[in-house]
Amino acid sequence: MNIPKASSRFNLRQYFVRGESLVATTGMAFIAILAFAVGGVVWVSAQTIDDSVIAQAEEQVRQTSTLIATQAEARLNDRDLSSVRRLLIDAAASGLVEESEITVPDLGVIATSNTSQDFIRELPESWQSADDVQQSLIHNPGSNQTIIYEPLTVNGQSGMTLKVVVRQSMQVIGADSIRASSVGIGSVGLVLMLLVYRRFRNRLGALAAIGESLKVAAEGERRTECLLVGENLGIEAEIWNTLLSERDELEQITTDHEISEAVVSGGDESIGLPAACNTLTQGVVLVGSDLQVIYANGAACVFLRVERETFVDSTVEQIAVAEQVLPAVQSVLDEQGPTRQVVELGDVKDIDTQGAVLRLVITRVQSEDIPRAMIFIEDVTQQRLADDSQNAFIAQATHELRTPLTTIRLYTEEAIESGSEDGEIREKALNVINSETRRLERIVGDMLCVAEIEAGSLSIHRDSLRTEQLFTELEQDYQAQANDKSIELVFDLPPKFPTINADRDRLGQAFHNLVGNAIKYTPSGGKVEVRVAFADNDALTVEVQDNGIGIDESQQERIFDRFCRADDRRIAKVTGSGLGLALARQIARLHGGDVTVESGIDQGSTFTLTIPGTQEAAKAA
Amino acid sequence: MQIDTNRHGAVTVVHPAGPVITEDDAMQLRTQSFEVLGQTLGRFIMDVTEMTFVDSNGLEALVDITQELSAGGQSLKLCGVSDTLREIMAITDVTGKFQQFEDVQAAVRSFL
Repeated sequence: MNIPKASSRFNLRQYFVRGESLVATTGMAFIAILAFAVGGVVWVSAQTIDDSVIAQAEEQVRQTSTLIATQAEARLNDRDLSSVRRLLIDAAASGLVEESEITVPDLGVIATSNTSQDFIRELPESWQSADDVQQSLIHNPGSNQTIIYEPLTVNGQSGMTLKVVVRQSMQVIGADSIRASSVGIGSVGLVLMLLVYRRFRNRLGALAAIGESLKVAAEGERRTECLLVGENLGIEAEIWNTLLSERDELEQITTDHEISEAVVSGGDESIGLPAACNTLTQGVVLVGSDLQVIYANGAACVFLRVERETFVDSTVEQIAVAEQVLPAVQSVLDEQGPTRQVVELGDVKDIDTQGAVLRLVITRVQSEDIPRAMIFIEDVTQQRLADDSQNAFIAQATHELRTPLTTIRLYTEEAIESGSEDGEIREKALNVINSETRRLERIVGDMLCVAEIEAGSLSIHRDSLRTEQLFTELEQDYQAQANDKSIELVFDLPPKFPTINADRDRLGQAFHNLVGNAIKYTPSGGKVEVRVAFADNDALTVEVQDNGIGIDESQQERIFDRFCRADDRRIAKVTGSGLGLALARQIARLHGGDVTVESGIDQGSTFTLTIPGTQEAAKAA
Repeated sequence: MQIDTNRHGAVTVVHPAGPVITEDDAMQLRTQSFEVLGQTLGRFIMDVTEMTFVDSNGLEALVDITQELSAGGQSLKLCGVSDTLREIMAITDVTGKFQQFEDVQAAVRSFL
């Protein structure tokens, strides 16, 4: 997988561009706020100055009216109305006031600056008092007129009012322009703020979506398709989606790496599974869809003769058995193919297995829609050998059974045909039938013994045994057979046979197998000698010596294996089950003794069966 | 020390005879056993009937062999273990590292 490097994705130029964009947005926001603030400050300042000017103008008007009122009160106390009227006219003429007049409650104007207005000519003696009248000021901005009502007290009597009208502008020149400018600055700031808001809203849309995605992730959702945000939300959304896809790729890489590490290192004990797999005597190999070996346990490496470090991360094509295994693995990985394949490997090329037979079971493992192949390897060499031997045994046993049965049938027919006329023929036929029946009995006995050995239940039943009778029967049984092959059969028996503690039937079976074998593999004109000896402790030694074909040294131990016969083409035509010697040795060993052989090619063979004395035998049992 | 080998079917049986009490004996046992188990993919039995005694060298060799077999998920199969050897293995707490069988036939049968 090709993961772009962070330096190439987030390079300096892009970072700068992104940073510049952010600076511009932030700068715009700052300017907008500044402009809005300046506009506000200018507005407040203009208003404050305006209020101050008005207050000063009002104070001036108040002082003027108070001055006129003081002068008017003094002249009214003297009841000099004409003087009062001149005062008002002079004040209007001087421009201090626009107009002024003095009114008496219920009577009307007694003096005014307006010469054309009617007024009372004489000051009344009394008028309605009004103690609660205060100075008041009324300003009319539209006409720039300010009217002040000043209460007058004449000769201790209140109620008279001086009205003064002043025309004076109470606004600072240019205040409206300043206000308009401040409104303009504030409007520009507002517009800028709207632009910044819009820009941030677009940016925040992506951030909000990413925030939601993070919340979902915090709740445990790990699937990328659930965490993706809309690509149209901007570059942040695109980067977020890219990061998610890169996370998936990195997780996959990490998982594969961890598996590989676990396999190479033999597995972390805390994990347990690799360690458990390493205890299996069967090989386990996990192969990926790309034919790469993902995991292999110890047994697999032993069977395939590979080092684990090199095995993992190699491909199936690279292992020694690729030629036979690769097609099966490919077939299993193919979703249209079979899910299970079995391959049996005989002599594996490039692997020195001394004829080992490996059985490979290849099965498909479907994991997250990724097909993988699991290969189980088993060493079935011993099983195959046993199967082959048993098949050979059945074939040989069938042949062995058929031969005496045919002989019995032929001699029985001959005896029947001869009737009572020819006693000699009949007697001979009966002897042969008797001999073949015994042979048949031995074969069946051997087969039963094999079954018991296979089941592990072969045992002996010891009893006091005088072996003299055993050897007499043995000589009788094989003398005719030896005569037929013109073999000299000699029994060298001791003068005295002590009683031993042994299983009569099993021991007889062992003797029969040794003598029968000697006659079978000794050519016509040969000699078989059976020597029996007892030691002082009653230990029995039986030597069966022939001058037959002999046994190669390399085969001498193998012939004691069950179902095994010497690998010698000279005995190809000699029938045999391959059980006789194995049974003889097994029986001897069950008695605490053994069967050994000394032989050489064309030098004859000597099989020696030993049974320890009573005390040793009892100890062995 | 004499070490004979013979085969029972596809199984190779190693017969060490005599005591294993020197480093040379242990090395010989280890070397021959490694050679056999390498050739047989682990189809390997040790008949210790005639191994009369082992000291720490011999025991270490046996443990090394079973350790080598453990790479393939197996352990050393011993047959004919004498009381002395069994006691030595018990005292040194290594009994569990081996599989024990009464005789060669039983050990060979375990490969079926």
